Amino acid sequence: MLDSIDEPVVLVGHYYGGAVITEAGTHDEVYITAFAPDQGESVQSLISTFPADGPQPPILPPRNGYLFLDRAKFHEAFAADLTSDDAAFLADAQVPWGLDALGGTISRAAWRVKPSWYLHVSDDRMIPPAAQVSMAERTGATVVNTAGSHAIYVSQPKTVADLIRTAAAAIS
Amino acid sequence: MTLENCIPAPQARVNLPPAERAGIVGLSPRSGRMEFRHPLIRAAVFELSTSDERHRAHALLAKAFDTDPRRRVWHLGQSADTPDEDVAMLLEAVSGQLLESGNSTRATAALVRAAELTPAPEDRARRIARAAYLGSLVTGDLHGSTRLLLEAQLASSDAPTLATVTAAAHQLLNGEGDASSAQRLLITALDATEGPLDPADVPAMEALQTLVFVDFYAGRADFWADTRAQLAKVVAPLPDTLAVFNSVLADPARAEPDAVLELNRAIDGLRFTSDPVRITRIAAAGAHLDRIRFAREPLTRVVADGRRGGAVAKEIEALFLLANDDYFAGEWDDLEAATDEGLTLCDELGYLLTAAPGRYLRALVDSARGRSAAADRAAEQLLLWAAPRRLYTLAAYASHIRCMEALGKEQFELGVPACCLGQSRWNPATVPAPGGVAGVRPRRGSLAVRSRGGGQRARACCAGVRARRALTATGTADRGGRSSHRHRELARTVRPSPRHTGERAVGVRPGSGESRLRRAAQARARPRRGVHPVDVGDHRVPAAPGDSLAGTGRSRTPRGGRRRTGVSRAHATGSSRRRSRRHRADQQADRNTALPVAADRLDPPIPRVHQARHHLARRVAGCDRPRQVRPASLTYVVRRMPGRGTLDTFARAHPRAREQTMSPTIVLVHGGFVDGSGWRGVYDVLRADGFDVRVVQNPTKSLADGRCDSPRCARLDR
Repeated sequence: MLDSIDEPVVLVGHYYGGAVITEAGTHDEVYITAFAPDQGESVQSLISTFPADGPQPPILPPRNGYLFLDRAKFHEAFAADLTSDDAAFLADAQVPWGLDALGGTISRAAWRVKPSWYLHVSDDRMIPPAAQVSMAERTGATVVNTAGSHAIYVSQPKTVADLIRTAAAAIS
Repeated sequence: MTLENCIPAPQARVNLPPAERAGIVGLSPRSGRMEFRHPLIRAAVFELSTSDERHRAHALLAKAFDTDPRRRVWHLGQSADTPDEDVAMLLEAVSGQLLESGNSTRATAALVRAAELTPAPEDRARRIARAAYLGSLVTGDLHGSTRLLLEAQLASSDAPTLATVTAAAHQLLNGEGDASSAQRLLITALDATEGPLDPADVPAMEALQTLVFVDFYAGRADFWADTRAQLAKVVAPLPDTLAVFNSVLADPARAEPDAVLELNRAIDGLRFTSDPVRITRIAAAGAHLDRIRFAREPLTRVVADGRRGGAVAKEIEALFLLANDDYFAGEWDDLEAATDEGLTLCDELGYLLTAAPGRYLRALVDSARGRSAAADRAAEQLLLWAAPRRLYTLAAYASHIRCMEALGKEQFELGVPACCLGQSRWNPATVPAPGGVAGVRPRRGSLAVRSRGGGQRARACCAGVRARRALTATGTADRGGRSSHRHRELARTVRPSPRHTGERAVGVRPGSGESRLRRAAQARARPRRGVHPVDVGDHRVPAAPGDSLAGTGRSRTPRGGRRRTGVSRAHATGSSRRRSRRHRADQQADRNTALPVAADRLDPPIPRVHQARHHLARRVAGCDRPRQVRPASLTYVVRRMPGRGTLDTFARAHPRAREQTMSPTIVLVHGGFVDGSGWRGVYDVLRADGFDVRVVQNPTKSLADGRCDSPRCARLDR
């Protein structure tokens, strides 16, 4: 895939994808309500700093090293602004999330050397809005706020695309 | 090839006494064996022998070593001239033994030879792959060697891929400087590829590119001929890096105007790319037409990338390319910093050949700054390293250093042979064939009139000297005496071609001898036209004897127009790449000899000199380029993955003829519990906007997987 991509590149990550793009190199990054770990941190370590009193993501205990979301609570927690049919499909089509992925530490945080953007989603139940704010502030990202669920990239593609467009424009 | 143990062979013994009398061989007091007196004699004997003689010698040696199976098989392999599975098998076995005993370079060479002698294609393929693996092992950096071992083993279990072979050749060349094995490896592998080569076939193009590099360092006409035959197999057009390389690096003097335009375009395009391989390649091609300065910004990015742990091998190349530019721009402090950094990396990573240009540039500056011991040592080491490997380009580097050194000491009787050595002895490809053969031609007329340069505090006086003009201008020619007579002699010999010029940079420092002092003083003060005192620091240097003056190479006259003539002149001369450097030196010399104009203009208002010094010098030296650093957004890092070696990096960072566009590619990376399909809406919107969009499918098993499913390495891990 690398070979077929023209430079420059804007990396866009949602949720755990934020950790991936942070580690993936040094490109401009757009975080869509995503984890933005620093060097030495992991998604796991970030989650452990989230407030314990707020709504918790309905993550089931790991099975064979993989996590799943409770299908019954998926709609409310992950995709509250999608139709129940769409949310049900997402819940039933879940991809197991490896514990190693959550525990993988960042060797170098791209946002330390590259500009970044952050789409802050105010009704997210997977990453608490306050945690989004603190990560976004730390990265020095240009922050855009919007109301919506964690599945904002499905429910409001235009809002997400607008932010990506802004980032792309900053490059060119 | 060695005769050290050949005494048991009766035939050899018969022929030895004359050789011993001639001082070619002798009994080594250390080993008690018959040996060549000097490695260079051995190289020379080998060089002068025909291939038939070599075959016969190897056959004799094979017989002589019947008690030493390893050597016997080695020589058997070298003496065979037709495919022979038995010999090939023996060689393969020996290769295994050599590897076990830690002699992986030889092990690779044995295996390459085994592959060459293998009649059956599949066996040959297998042996090539194995040789490729060994080659990678030999020179891969230590951190990655374990991983490399694994990868290469995987590669060799299948049919050998051209990519593997290329990686191995690359390693062989840049590490051990084993151009011969690298060339044979590549040619054999390319020959095994059936049909015409597709320019979109990345491994094939990489192989060709590596081949061109091999040829460049080897500086041998027969290598270039083989390469041209391979290039002819490519259905046109060549990828632009390869095209530029082939047209400009192979034979800059004959570069067609179209090729130069192509080069200019490619260099201009470097602003928009972050591919370190592409940047260093294009810049390297540009080096020979004095265009590195236009690639400084991208090269600087490559260096920065390497410092952050990115493509370190490319960082080294970029550092030396920048140093090359620094040399001609007179930024010698920058040069020393860059070569320091690059050479340290070379040492750490074992990039022995890659280090050579750095050592060469460093030695030139050492010489110019009066550190002649260091320069001598560097030249000696370069030569000793290059000779057994038959790397003529490096030998020419060494000759050039020696020549500069000799000239600096006014030892013209030494300098001339050094030049001639560089030109003839080391260069079988003196006359490039049409279509581009890079022979190696050091600057024959390198006549820098330079007294010994000084140390840190030395002040500068630059006056590159076109031999004749300088003599006339400085008045040394009028002095009579042996030296100036020699000057004149030399000047006359170079006269027919105004291109045969000197280096620049006249540095003058109190010499030990009174006469030298006097000459130096005259050289500077007499007409005060050929040489203009220049201050480098905060003080203007009085043009009086006894001052410390060392060449900075910074010239000051705004005659930038001359610089532009490089292409046409280079084009007209029909010469090799080495000569194009000479053109550059020419142009520099031209500027410098034009100094009287500047002297009149700039003298005497000192403050104005101060103000104007920097601008003028930079403009003249051609370094008045835009050095602004582009926004970091264009930089990307080829990350050095923990535990991964250069094979990996190489494969990963391979260049493509990319269409350069400023519109970024958008890569969408999903998070946990979902896959990439959720991006459809965003994808559609961005596509409608005209963006190139990719959606990554990440298994989200581990962050390391995530890395490899991200754009950086998805291709490799599938």
